[in-house]
Amino acid sequence: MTKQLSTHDWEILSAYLDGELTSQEQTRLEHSLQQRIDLQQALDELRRTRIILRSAARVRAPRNFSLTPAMVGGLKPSRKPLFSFNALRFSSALASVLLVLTVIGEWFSFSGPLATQVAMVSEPAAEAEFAPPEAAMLPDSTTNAADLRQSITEEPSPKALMAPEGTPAPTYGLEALSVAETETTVEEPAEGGEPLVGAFLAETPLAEEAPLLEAVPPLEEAPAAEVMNATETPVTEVAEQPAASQPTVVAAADSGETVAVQSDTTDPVLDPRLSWRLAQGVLLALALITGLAAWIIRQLQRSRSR
Amino acid sequence: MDEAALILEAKRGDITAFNRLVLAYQDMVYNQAFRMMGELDAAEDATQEAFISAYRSMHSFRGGSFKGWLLRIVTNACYDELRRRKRRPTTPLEPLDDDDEEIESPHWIADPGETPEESTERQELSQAIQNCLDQLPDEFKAVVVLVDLQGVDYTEAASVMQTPLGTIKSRLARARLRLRDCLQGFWELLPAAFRLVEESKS
Repeated sequence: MTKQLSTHDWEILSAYLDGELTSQEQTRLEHSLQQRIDLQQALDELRRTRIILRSAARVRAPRNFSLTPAMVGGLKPSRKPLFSFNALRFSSALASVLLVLTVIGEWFSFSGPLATQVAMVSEPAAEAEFAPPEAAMLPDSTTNAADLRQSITEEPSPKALMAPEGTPAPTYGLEALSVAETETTVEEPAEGGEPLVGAFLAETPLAEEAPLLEAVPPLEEAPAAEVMNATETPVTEVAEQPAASQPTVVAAADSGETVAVQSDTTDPVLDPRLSWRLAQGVLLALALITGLAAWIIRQLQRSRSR
Repeated sequence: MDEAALILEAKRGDITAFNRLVLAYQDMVYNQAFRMMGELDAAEDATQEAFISAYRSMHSFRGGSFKGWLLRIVTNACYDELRRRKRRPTTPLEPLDDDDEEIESPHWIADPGETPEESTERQELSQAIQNCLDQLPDEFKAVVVLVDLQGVDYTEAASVMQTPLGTIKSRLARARLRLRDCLQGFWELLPAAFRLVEESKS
């Protein structure tokens, strides 16, 4: 019989049990209850159901759910990782600046001979190893070698030094790589007569730079994402340079610093230069390591806050 | 320190003050999660998640019932998990013991004050209630757990569920109707004294 009750009837009965009816509704229902057995029965069943439900044992929390600062670390990151991140970023930038200073110092000490020597030294092996695919198109391999010398040097970019993402160090070597790409192409307008090639090659996809990246040992750990950033700044700088009619001079004028890779091609007789290189190598490593550490810390913080 | 002061401190990020609120409400929050999820581990996860989420959104608590606010957070956490499970159903129906055997009468229901016989019946009943609850749609289950198991009134239930009072009324009635069918035959399992006391109350 109770099956004939409407949904509304059940709602009224249910609310009645909870004392949630208005006094008017309550009076009306109580009046109906006296006359209808099916309503009484339904109310009884609901009451029993309600009692059974209310008899359900309350469970106790099986453990303490107190929060620790680590659990909510993403919301309010503690100062410590933030500090170490800034400290690492700063030391990376500082090492980079010192690296640039040593390079400038070296350049002043050995300006003439260094540039000439570097440009004149012909190393077919290194050429084959470092040359990008386009190099094959260039008729003059000596010029190309000179370009490559320059290509593994880099122009210190103040922008990169102050990059907010804490990635200045890895940027350096990669900047050099992109210079390598672009410098080769600057050569081309003179010979091929296509001024737009430089712009085209500036957009050379990452894949083509990959072999170069691996050829330079200290850069192997550099995160790929930074390669993309690194390729932007130097491209324009190089594009504005005068045509490399005299590769030697250009190389000397533009080389802010010389990467450790170059030490392979350096004459071991020049001891003072070796000490310069050693200092540069140490600074470069320091800049890379601290920069990488800062990057890792940043990634950890991000993943925790997610 | 009273609740209002603790809430104020917690809103400023004081985790110690917040943890005192956790201690005060963790049984209630855990109960809601357990009855919604029907599983110990899932209830624990939902409870912890709810407290973390509550701490993170303390700034959005604009007064009113803190208890209701917590119940809303844990209920939503359970909804999310239940929805996720429906997309990828993998859960066992019974908790497992150390040997991966199903525990039919979990120890957590045990009440040391009862005789073994009463205890067994009570566990049976509690399990039956949970099984019946698990068959309800999530929205019905949430309301009936709030009102009948947590003792929340309609107004607060409406605030927890963020639905109109009429919706609470109708969902509760329909949930009870379904539970009536599901729980038929379990009335006799209730201890006689309990039945009498409850019937006289209602």
